[in-house]
Amino acid sequence: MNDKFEQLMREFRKVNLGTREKETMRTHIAAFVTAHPRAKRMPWIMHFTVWRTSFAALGVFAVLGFGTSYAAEGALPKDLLYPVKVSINEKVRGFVAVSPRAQAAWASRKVERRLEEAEELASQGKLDANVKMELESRIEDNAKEADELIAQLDIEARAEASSELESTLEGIAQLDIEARAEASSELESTLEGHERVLLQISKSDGESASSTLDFAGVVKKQKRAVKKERSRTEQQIKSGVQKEKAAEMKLRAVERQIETVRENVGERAEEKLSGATELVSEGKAKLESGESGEAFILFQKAGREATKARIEGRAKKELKIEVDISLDSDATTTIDD
Amino acid sequence: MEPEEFLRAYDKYADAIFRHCYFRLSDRELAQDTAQETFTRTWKYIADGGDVKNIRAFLYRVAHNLIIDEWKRKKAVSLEELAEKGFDPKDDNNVDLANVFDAREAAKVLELLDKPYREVVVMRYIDDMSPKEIARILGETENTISVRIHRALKKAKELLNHE
Repeated sequence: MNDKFEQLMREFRKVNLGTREKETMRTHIAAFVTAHPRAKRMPWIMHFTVWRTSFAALGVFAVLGFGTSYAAEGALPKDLLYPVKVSINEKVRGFVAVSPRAQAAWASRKVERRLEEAEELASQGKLDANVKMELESRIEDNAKEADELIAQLDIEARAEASSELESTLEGIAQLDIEARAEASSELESTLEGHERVLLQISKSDGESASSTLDFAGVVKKQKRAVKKERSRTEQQIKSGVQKEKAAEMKLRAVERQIETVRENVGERAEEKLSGATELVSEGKAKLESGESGEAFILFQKAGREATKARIEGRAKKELKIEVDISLDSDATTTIDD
Repeated sequence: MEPEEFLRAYDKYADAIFRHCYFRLSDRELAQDTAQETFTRTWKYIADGGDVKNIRAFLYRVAHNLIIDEWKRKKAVSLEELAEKGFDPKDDNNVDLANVFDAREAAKVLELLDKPYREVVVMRYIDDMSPKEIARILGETENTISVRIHRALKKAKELLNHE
């Protein structure tokens, strides 16, 4: 009997990639290695966030002066200072974001900055075909960057596992899924919120209504992709370990988020925020009854409501438009897929 | 680690990593994809400045993480299906008659083992790892792994005995 087992294992050890398969895979990997060269190591002093921030900021101010850099923040495509905004200011801020989570959040924020620019232009009837194309391409780049950084969160979490052997790999895998679930949930609600704002603008905007409507369609497409990732990661969390801890951390994060939106947007978004607060209460009840996977999902939903409240509030304040971003715009949107 | 050194590591470990993925995922195509992703993710980690002290152990760790993700994503194609389709461990251009050896029976034995047992059998007897190495990759103590291997082996032999 022993011989039988050993014979099996000996045969199994002969299983290999075919010669062609191995060569093809090598070609792919060699191409990947060439496309991703090793990052040059920075001098040790540059590893400190404070120094990184100071050097970067000093560089920009030395070239442009503080005023120019600050003024560029409000620039829109076609403005003289717009290249300063996207090529210098945003790169400096990206440089300051050191942790992978901060980098992923900043990449998502850049997507939102492009959406806000589109809304401002559309509300002034200036979203013409050229600007629309430029913004679409920038959004695509920024969304791709965000997507890659979100996916990379797991590599970072796993790298930590090398030094923390006491953590179980299940726990580590769970951590990266949570990070991905949270990042994709935030990006999804941002895209959804702005899609609704753009749709609303397209209804009242004569000159560039069709460009705006097209643009909203592009945003919707992006949102769909992110939504899939969010649902997938949430399902993984439901079936994973350490759900209770994940739900508790998410609860604290969403409560802070609601508070921040309330402070910044105030009464204008109170109705939407009360929806978020209700979802939090429902989630807390689930958490108490031990259904922590469900609780996590409800807290994620509450976070998305709070994001939409923030976007509604901004649209009212900056663009003077009323928009109701429903919980699931797929059910009410007027754009054909 | 330089690119040339990394590609040498590929030449050395590609078959072993593929084999590991294959016997844990029971799907040749998926095992190839997972093996390839294992190498690209490892390089990405190195390219981003990560320090890899033991490339073999690191590759197995990344492969193991990807396999767990895959299990969570969807139930792996069952070995029963593999048995129905026939065992096809080699590419057509590289047929080795030795692999025809009663592999369906073997596939059934692996399938009947619980996942934790199956993974230690693959790592110990197919990947030829020590219990200490397995413990590092699975994040368990060496003692736990030794006990698990012992039980898995007992179970596998019982199953073979009932064939």
